[in-house]
Amino acid sequence: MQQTLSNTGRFRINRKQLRWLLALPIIYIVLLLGQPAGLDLVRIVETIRSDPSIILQQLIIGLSNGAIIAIIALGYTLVYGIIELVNFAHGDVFMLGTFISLLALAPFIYLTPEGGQAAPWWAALLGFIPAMAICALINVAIERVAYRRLRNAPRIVALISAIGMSFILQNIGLQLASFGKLATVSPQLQWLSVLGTNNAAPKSFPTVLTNDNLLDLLFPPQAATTAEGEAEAEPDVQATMNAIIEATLAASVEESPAESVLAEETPAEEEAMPPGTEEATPEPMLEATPEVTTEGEAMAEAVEEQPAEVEGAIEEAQAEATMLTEEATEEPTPIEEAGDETMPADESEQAEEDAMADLIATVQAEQAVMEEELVPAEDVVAAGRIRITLKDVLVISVAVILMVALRWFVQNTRLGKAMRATAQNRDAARIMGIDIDRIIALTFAIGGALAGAAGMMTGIYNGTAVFTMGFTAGLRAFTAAVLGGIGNITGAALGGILIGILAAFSDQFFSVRWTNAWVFLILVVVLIFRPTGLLGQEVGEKA
Amino acid sequence: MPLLELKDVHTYYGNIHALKGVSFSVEEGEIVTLIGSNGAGKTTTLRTIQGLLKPRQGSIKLRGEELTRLASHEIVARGVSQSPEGRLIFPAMTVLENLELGAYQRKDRENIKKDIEYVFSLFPRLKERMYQRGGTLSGGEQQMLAIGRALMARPRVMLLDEPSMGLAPILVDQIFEIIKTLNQQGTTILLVEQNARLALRIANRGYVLETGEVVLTGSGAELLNNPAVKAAYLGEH
Ligand SMILES: Nc1ncnc2c1ncn2[C@@H]1O[C@H](COP(=O)(O)OP(=O)(O)OP(=O)(O)O)[C@@H](O)[C@H]1O
Ligand SMILES: [Mg+2]
Repeated sequence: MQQTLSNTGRFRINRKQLRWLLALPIIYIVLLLGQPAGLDLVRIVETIRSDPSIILQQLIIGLSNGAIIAIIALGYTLVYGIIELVNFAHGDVFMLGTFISLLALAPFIYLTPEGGQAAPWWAALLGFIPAMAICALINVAIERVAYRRLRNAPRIVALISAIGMSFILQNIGLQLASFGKLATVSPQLQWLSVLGTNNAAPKSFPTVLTNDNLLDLLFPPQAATTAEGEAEAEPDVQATMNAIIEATLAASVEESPAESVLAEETPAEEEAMPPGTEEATPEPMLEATPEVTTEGEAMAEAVEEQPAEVEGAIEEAQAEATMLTEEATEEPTPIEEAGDETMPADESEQAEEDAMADLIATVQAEQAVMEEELVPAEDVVAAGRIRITLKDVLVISVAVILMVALRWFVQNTRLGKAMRATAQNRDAARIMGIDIDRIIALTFAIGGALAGAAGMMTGIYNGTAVFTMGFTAGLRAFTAAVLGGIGNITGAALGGILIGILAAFSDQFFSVRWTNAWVFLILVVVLIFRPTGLLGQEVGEKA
Repeated sequence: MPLLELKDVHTYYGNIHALKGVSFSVEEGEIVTLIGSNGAGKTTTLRTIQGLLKPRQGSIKLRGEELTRLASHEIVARGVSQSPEGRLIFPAMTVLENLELGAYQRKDRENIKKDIEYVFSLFPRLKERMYQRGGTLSGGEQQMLAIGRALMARPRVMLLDEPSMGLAPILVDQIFEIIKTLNQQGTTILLVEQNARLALRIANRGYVLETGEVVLTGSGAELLNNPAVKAAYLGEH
């Protein structure tokens, strides 16, 4: 393709070169805006130097989140492949899938000895069934209601319909939580209390799998770090501090010189941790307990050698917590958005209620952020040791199983072939005797089922459900699909993993609040420089 | 009762009145050809029979059963298949997969392998390219594949839309030979052609379509000798 813009002798610049010229301003903007976006090279280098294993750790986290993103991205790519529509409502189907997963787990919730809420693993596995089935139905219904009649209309019309559908689903997600109020009506409905009383607040999943490090189980570290379950379970930073102090006191009585080497490193590491290096995974509050204990233990060990430094570390941790509290308040919580968009402004009573809801949610968000902050603290204890949990294993295996199954289905079955045929040429497919309405519905069903599965995976891995989560997830998944080459199944998987890793690294090394911006940047760059994506094929060779 | 019968079929593209009351019939075992200049409505007729377009008025019957109320996949299931204009091969699928899709509506799965072998015996070129993607075939090979794929449905009536389009003369002759063979082996064929001379030579009967209407009909030989046809479609004076 030699399209020359100017044919005047020496300065022949073709399109391709021009696009690369465009790269210069983009690099410039990245460097310019990079600083506020968390692109602080000194800090990044410091962080990596103090603990290089953090890179591996973020890779694992990125892989797990990427697996979830990939599963959602498949929904975009399948639907785009078959009707050339960006199904903007897909992220919201995923959001509903997360809520359905939460409801599926709700009846099985029990209280752990530590006072946390947990659900058995088999309930989660069973929960995949309703989550996938209901989301499949929802997606099929969306196609029927919002897209089928517009199939031959200009594309923009269907796109607008998709955006409208997205709003509708978001509001359904918001209203779903109203059922939480039924929990008080009768004991049979008690399980609905997982939905809480505030529609817009993030809902916490019960713990299905713990954060125990499988590597610790397989290769026990020399220094035993198995003193869990001592401290009180209270999702509160003050309690955390109390636990640390308690543990410190307890340990000062005992003697454990063998652990001193490990412990020595602790405060130094703590210093190296910059504020805002939350993990990509918002941990459910209840899980903070073991972390806290382990940290307390570490502190306790440290006391023996350098009590002064430990005190310093504790103070620092407290200061950090305060800082994070402030940060959390600044962060736009889902509640604030909800207040703007969905609440009638004329009802003052409602407004008051909202204000309360805002407050509660803000407090909850603060707590969540604080506890997230506490998670890396354990990594510090096991500096140089990465952590792989059952959650990682489960999420990645489920994703792999789903992707392999999907690929097999599309490649080898009669219906899969019909899907590919419909994607390549709808008229030809009809001439073959393929009922394209049915095949398109099937495609939406598969996409929906995958979104439902991703919902349960998110519940297990990240443990929160909010009615606005579909937007971020959808953005990332759509970017993943475009990055891999929209319409291409393998591409969606690859793109998902890349975006997941990018997000994890951005969360760790840059700043959580800028992660979406980086994802957007990737989207823009891909669309400019390689609109067909990494594995993009010629037009007409999709699916 | 004719195998296929159109009566007063009117088809529109939006406000464009493409078929203005087309009527004709095809008997079992015949080759019937539909000739006409560009834009006469030949492709529109085939697409309407197949159910890809819905006529606003009129009836299309296959052995007396009304097709206009059926969806295209149901029409295929009743034994109407076609090699469409532009061939419409699935470009990212192999030759074999394209052929398998031709048999999508068939219930007798066990015979499909045999029929694929039969298609390969008609078009040995396709067998050599069994695992090649449809998009990489030459125009002639794609045409063979389109015809083979239509055959895979074991149709009662096969609709062929300009099978000679864009092919070298030697290949055109070859394709027409195969059409004749297929017909002798029992497939009823409705053939749309620009190449009127060749089409009328192998056809039992023909219809001349002009701007959406049938203006002339007769046996192949009659039409070949008709002065109006000669002037308009055979380039003779
Ligand atoms: N998709 C369409 N939208 C609007 N008008 C159409 C469309 N397809 C065909 N037409 C019109 O319908 C009329 C018949 O077209 P058709 O394709 O059936 O002609 P044809 O006899 O097959 O011609 P050719 O020999 O060139 O293939 C033409 O006037 C054409 O312009
Ligand atoms: Mg035509």
